[in-house]
Amino acid sequence: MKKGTLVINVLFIVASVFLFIETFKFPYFKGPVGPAGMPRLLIFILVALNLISIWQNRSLKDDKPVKIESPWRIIAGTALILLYLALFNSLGYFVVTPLFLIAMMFLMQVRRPVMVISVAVIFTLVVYFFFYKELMLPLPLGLLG
Amino acid sequence: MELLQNLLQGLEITFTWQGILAVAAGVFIGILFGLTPGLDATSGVALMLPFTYPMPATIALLFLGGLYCAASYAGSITAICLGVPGTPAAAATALDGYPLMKKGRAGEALFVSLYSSVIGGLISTVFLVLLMGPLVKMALSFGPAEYFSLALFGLTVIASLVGRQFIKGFIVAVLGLLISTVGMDAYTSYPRFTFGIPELFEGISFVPAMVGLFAVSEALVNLEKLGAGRVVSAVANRIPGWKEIKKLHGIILINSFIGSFLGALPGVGAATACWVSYNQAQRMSKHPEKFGTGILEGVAAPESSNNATVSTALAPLLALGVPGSATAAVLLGALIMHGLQPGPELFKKAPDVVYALLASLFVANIIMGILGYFGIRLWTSFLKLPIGVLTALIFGFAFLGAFGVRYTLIDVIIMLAFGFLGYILRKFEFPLPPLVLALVLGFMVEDNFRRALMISNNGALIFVTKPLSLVFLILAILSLFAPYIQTQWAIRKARREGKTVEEALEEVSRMFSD
Repeated sequence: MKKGTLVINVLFIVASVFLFIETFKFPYFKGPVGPAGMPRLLIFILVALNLISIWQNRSLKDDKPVKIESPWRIIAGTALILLYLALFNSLGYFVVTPLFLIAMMFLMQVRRPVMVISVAVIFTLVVYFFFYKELMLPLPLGLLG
Repeated sequence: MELLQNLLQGLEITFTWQGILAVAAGVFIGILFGLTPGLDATSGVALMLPFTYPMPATIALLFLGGLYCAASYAGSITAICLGVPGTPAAAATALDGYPLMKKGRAGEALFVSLYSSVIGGLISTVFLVLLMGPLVKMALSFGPAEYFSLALFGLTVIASLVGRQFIKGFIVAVLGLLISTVGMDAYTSYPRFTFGIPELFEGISFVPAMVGLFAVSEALVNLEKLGAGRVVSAVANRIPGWKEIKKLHGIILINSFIGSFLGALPGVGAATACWVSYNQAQRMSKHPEKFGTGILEGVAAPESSNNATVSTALAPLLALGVPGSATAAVLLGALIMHGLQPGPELFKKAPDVVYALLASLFVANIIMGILGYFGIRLWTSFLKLPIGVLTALIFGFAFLGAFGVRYTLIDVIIMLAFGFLGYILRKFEFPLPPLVLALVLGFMVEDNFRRALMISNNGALIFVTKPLSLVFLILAILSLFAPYIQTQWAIRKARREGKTVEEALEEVSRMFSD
């Protein structure tokens, strides 16, 4: 029994039930297939496939259990991404982006300060001159505005 | 004659400075994506897609076409220099390429891989041009029933081509179809599964979804695993003697044909073609035992074949609107983003765009030859870049690209959601190509299903009374059972050869790890 796959299968089935209930809010439609028709059909197939998968799973060996190799780095990376999103508008793109890039490279153990800083600065400058000035991409200026 | 005239017009567009610049930039960036392990043509096209938004449609396609082409080649540079394929399409190349490198013959291997790729690409483009006419003619007779069955066929093929985990392929395909129903219903305007978020009314936008699925999920995998530092010695080109190259021409030609054929089939991509060709070359060889020890044939066969899938994979996409591979599915997203709906209508509405793309593929292969040859020092030095720098840059481009689609953070959030979804699916060994294909085909499946039933006089029978629709449905059902049959075959063969069942299953899933 592969435990990881089982968890995913169960999650799929739970989500399917939730979505199926949601389809009862869809309006009536005078015609062969209404707005709920295709989603319901798909949900049925999805549940069936996951049940088959669970059935097949019985006889499988869990030889390579799924595990996250360095969970703290994924958590730290996720936190960094959320922080970036949260500060995107208030601090402005051109302030948060180089900081994000530097932090991300640091997190991934790039220990060459010259390289880290030049990558972050060059990327930000290219975005500023090419995408912001030339292509007029309306990036939030935040503090710099 | 008309075809030739159209192609010449296409060449005219390609040979403007913007055209050449777009193709060359595409090839340049494509090589960088191809040689980075974990990134390939699909993630390259997805990540660069938002940046083509401000470009005119033709220039954007020239750029992305060049990228697709070059990324399918460049995986071999990594396969030869590091022994790790830069893309799944170059997995077979590593078998002989890396031993050649260890023998000090990396320069020759690199040249042969480039040479075979260019020839494979050119031959495939010729096939693409020849296929276009008949396919478009066929597509003109299609009604909703045919389109529904065809889309279903395309989906079942790609979902079944994931080796022994095929049930997982089908699960993600259905998931993709379900996600594609999010947003306003075409007939009642009811916002389905939007949970009160107005930005979702138009549906999940393709571009952030694709960037998330392919690029961000890869960045997250990198973040978790941190690839070890790589040591690459500088390599220079060395052209093998003409005699040696001449001996390879037979292999290159045969495998260019094989690759072109496989590429045109829906669902079969470069990653499968490279193994088919490698095995074929070994079987036809006078000295099969030398394969795997470092011989140039072992590089020429997969490399001519994997690049030959590129152009012909565009045939079903352009003529029928049904992409033949994951990369073609992302390109479908590109076409839609630029307001072009592929299919026979496209040839009437925007023939200049289509023929410019076809003509530019010839040019892209030539430019790939030139850049691949003269840039070799640059490419191998790029392999030394730490994985952390690459990952940070992937995030940087992904954020920028997703924001650039509609200038809102909601697209960035959608991108990240798909990034984490892709990461989790990868961790649990669910394949991603069926998901992306389902996302782009979802509307086509549902819309044609409903329309066919509306015009039908005898209900669902319309799908089996129309002959072409019936053919596609039969093919779809066959491909549903193909993986099961294939697995049984492999097990039986393994028993005969005295291998364990596990080994045989490994082999099956290796062939289809696209």
